[in-house]
Amino acid sequence: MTAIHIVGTGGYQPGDPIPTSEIARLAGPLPEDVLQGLSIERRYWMIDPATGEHRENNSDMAYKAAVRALDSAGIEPGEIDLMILATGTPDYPLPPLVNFVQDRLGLERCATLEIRSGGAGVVQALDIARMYLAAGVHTTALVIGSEAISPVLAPIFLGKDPESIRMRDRMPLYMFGDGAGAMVLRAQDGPGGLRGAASACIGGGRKPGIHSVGGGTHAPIHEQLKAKRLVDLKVDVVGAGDFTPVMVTEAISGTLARAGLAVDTVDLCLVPEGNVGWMLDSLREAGLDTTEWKALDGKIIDSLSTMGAVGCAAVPLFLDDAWRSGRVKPGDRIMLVGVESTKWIYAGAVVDWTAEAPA
Amino acid sequence: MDRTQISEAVQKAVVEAVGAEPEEVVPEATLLDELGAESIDLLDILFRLERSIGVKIQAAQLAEYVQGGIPDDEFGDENEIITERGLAQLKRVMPQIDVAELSGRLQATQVMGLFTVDNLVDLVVAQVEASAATAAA
Repeated sequence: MTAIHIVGTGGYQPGDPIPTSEIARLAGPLPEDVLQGLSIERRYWMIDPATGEHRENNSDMAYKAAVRALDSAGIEPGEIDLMILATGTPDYPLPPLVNFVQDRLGLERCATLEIRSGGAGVVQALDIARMYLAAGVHTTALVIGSEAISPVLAPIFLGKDPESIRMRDRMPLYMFGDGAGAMVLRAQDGPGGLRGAASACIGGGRKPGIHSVGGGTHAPIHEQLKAKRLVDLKVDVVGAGDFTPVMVTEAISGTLARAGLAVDTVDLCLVPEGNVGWMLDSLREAGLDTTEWKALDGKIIDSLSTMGAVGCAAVPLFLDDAWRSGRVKPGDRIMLVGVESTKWIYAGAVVDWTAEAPA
Repeated sequence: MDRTQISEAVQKAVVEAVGAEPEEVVPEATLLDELGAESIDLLDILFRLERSIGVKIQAAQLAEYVQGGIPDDEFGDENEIITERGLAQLKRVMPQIDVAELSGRLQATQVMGLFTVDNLVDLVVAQVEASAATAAA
């Protein structure tokens, strides 16, 4: 039986890890209970925190993750005939970032797609790739999630007195980082591989939890240029804290339903932010620690605390971390959940893992 | 620490946390409605006060202080309109309000919108005095 398998993954984060103490030095402190709630010990930035200069860019990171994924799968770039990339922070509005990665991989011709659904995008990409491969349209797919958030953070603190920075601006500096993750998919014989997937935006009519404003076409450019910062990342910490758990629990039940699988058959569930203090508190307070959520207790994969909040990169990057560290093994049934708090989008997929970790 | 010093600390904290101009942050300005503070900014103000004058006030304490320990169902009626007992309590912590004007029409969700910079100074003064009394005892 032919199935669509994830045959390799790769991850990349730029520079040295930035500890929370360094963020406090740059941007001022946060209350201890807020820090504990965020649960992030370190993150990685593509900018130089001292100058704001870019040491590399989003397409560099995406390329490096792609190369590692191809290496782990033992696949040459020339074998790729479909590339799908998800990002919210491309190098340019156009051309698509995926085509810069294509350039770097030396592919003159390739089917490419770019998805803009934030943290849910890469899981949506996985399902789109699965459908193309299952239909026999393509044979080898490269799915990438990458994010470069630090460039937008730099103007918040560069040249500023850390004490003067407002808490609402300070908090994203503690949360966000940069990185990329990639997965190689192939149709091959044998049991296992990708099972069902589900995706929905459940934020129709709901205010965005995060809003990245600037550089778009919502207002005249001459008006936008008058803003204090060209791009402003507005994070509704309270709103996001309240509704993200609703989205995560719905993602889990929706994905299980579409895959036709019972929760107790899932060995591991990757949910970025699935293990952090505020999320668990909020789930309990809202009565959302459902039977399904409880059944996943101890099975959650989440590298947020050591890798930071990395948007589109989170799912493949954390998966790569778990695979290479031996937590994800052949025979495991894994649910991958990507959620996006800008407009409340979720995507989930179930995969029966078959790839041996690289030696 | 006297009231003047506390007032100065509160003003500085509000200016920084809300991103307002110092001349906007007058004693009678309401934090939420007029200065545009949201819950995260209130948290910011309280954290700045903790760091500048060592007074620790939790965000939850702010609402408790305003409600004065009156149970929810006695503070507001079934339509979430503040009761006479509730208004009498609000008058104690927010002496500037016109109880007759608000009677029978103040919604629970509007209460914090009436809270001014000076009301916050009162709360901080009370907290400082309570800490001093505890330390003395």
